[in-house]
Formats: sequence, structure tokens, C-alpha cells
Amino acid sequence: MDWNLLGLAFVTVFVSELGDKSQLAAIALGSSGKSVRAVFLGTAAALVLASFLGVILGGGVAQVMPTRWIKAIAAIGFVIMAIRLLLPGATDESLDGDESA
Amino acid sequence: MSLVSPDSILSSPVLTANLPAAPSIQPPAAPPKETADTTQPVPAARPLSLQDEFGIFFSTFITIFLAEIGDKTQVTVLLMSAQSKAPWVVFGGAGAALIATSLCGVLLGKWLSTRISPRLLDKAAAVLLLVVAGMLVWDVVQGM
Repeated sequence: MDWNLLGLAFVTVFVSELGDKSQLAAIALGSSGKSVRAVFLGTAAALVLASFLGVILGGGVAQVMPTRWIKAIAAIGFVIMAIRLLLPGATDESLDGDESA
Repeated sequence: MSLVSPDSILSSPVLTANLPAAPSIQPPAAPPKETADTTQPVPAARPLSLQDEFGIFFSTFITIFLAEIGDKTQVTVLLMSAQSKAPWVVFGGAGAALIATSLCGVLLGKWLSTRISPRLLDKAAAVLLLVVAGMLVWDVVQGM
């Protein structure tokens, strides 16, 4: 086991991932979602699987997958989740009337 | 594989604090504690069913996974594993780091939810998700 390499990979990815899209999404979903556990498991599983594909496919990711279209689909997904948060009914809006007028 | 086991993380009291199933902690026939503490705006009106949790898991998984495909983290892992002779060690380190950052993000969000009113929080979270979508669109426009 190459502990130096392990540590290097950990630190590199950790730093590059801090404040990145997926962590911002994790913050947003973790704060609004009802289940922190489900959000954490979903986020972690998605990230690990994505890096797993990176290792498996090597340089062929761009050839195998149309990354631009995939990113566009993901953007639509985030917009849908944002709209779902803003729409009344998705969360209990009837806390104490509408004081924000 | 030296990944952190999710179970060990999830057994921490921080994460399991708001889960519905903990009947032994709650006093019998406790009235809705609206007067207890107003600093905790967590609704928890009805316990989440497994289906709800799976829905949250699935939508989170799909969107984050699609967003990460071809992202700089994946490219970093790809390059490091290609350069080194031990791609699985790289994967182990990267996977642990990704689990750690997502745990940090989720816990930060959880902490924020105890500080900010739910309505403002939903708006802030929606704006944050739109920012993420904007970053993705920016990536697409730039052609990566």
C-alpha cells in the first residue's frame, strides 16, 4: 500500500472539491431536505461512482460519454429541484401566514 | 479498499439525531414541543417513509452524478490513476476525500438549518441550487 499516494490523492481531491459544485449542492440539499442521511448517501455514492468511472475508463471518458449533454441534463435537474423548493406545497408553507407580503 | 464505511459515519449522533425512528428517547405521549425551543425550526411533522428517503437519495444521486461526470475532480482522479502504477490506491484516496467533502457539506447544511428559518432556508437552498446549475451551464458553454 502506497500511503504517500493515498494521502496525495486524498488531499488533492479534498482541496479541489471544497466549495465545488457538488459540495454546494450537498449544502443546499442537506439544509432543505428532510433526510440528511439520504442526501449524504446519495451525494457520496454519486461522487465515488463518478471517480470510479474515471479510474475504469481512464482517458476515454470524453469519448464514451457526451459530457456536455450530461452536464446540461444535470443543470436542468438542479433547476427542477430549486423550483420544487420554491413552490408552495412542497414544504409546509402554512407555518404562520405570509408575513413577507 | 480503505473507504470509510457509511455505517460508521451514520451512527454518529449528529446525523441520526433527526431521524424519525428513536422512540426510546422521546417521552411517552409528548405534546408537540412548539414552545420548547424556537431555535430549532426542523418541521419533522411526519416521519419519513423509506420510500421518501429513497426518493431523496435517488434524486440527489442522479443529479450529483451527472454533474460530476467529466468534472475536474473526475479528470484529476483520471490523470493521477493513469500516472501512478496503483490506480486503486488513487481511487481509495479520492473516494475517501469525496465522502469527507460531501459529509462536510451535508453537515454544514444541517447546521444552517438549525440557524435559519425554514422559509428563508428553502429560498437560500433554491438559490444555491440555481448557482450550481449556472456553474454547470457555464461549463457547457465553455466546452469544458
